[in-house]
Amino acid sequence: MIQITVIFMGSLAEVTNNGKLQITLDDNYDTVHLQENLFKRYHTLKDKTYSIAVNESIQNQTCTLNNGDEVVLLPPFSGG
Amino acid sequence: MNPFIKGSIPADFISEKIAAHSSKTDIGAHTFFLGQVRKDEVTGKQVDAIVFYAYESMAEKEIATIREEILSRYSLKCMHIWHSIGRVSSGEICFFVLVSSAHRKSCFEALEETVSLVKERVPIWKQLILDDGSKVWADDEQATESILRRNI
Repeated sequence: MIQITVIFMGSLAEVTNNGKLQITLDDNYDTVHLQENLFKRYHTLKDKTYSIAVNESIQNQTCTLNNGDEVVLLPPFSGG
Repeated sequence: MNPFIKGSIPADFISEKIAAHSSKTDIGAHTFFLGQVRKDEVTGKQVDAIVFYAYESMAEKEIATIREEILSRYSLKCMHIWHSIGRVSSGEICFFVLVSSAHRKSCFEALEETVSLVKERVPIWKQLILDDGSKVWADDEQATESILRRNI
């Protein structure tokens, strides 16, 4: 088993009613599995646009998760 | 260098940063960009302020990466990026980019590209505070579609 932290930034913190979540997952869990898991917890999340960062690096492809990873869901940026 | 400033960026801060370059006498041109909070109208209400949030650790790294990329591509003497975090009222400054070089051409081009890259790549979000006290996220497509279109 692995434990990871999931952080919801910006508007996604309101969608999930939760800014931060600690989750224990099976080994060999990847970012696709994680999103399926999160969709079950937060039904409206699947309608949202976001990218995923693992340990501060944006992932454009499926990525296997490791114990202690910090996964952050990032809605479209609007700085500047 | 921490690129974040809590609240608005005061005019004094901007003038101090420009004045700090007077000892660098190989500089012949500065260009700078100032982002100001607009009193936009959203769903019939006016924007009183914007609260900026960032994924700060990643945003700081991304700003440093953009700075290195720009410095390697253009012939510049130096460049700096500052961005507000927290509440900034409409009419106040929230974003400051200062680019310095020997001659103006590289300054103008580097400034334009830097501003675009920060908007595109740095994890910062805006929450709009409206004049009735309600709040709306700038990335909420339905509520703020017109604003996002204008910001592109």
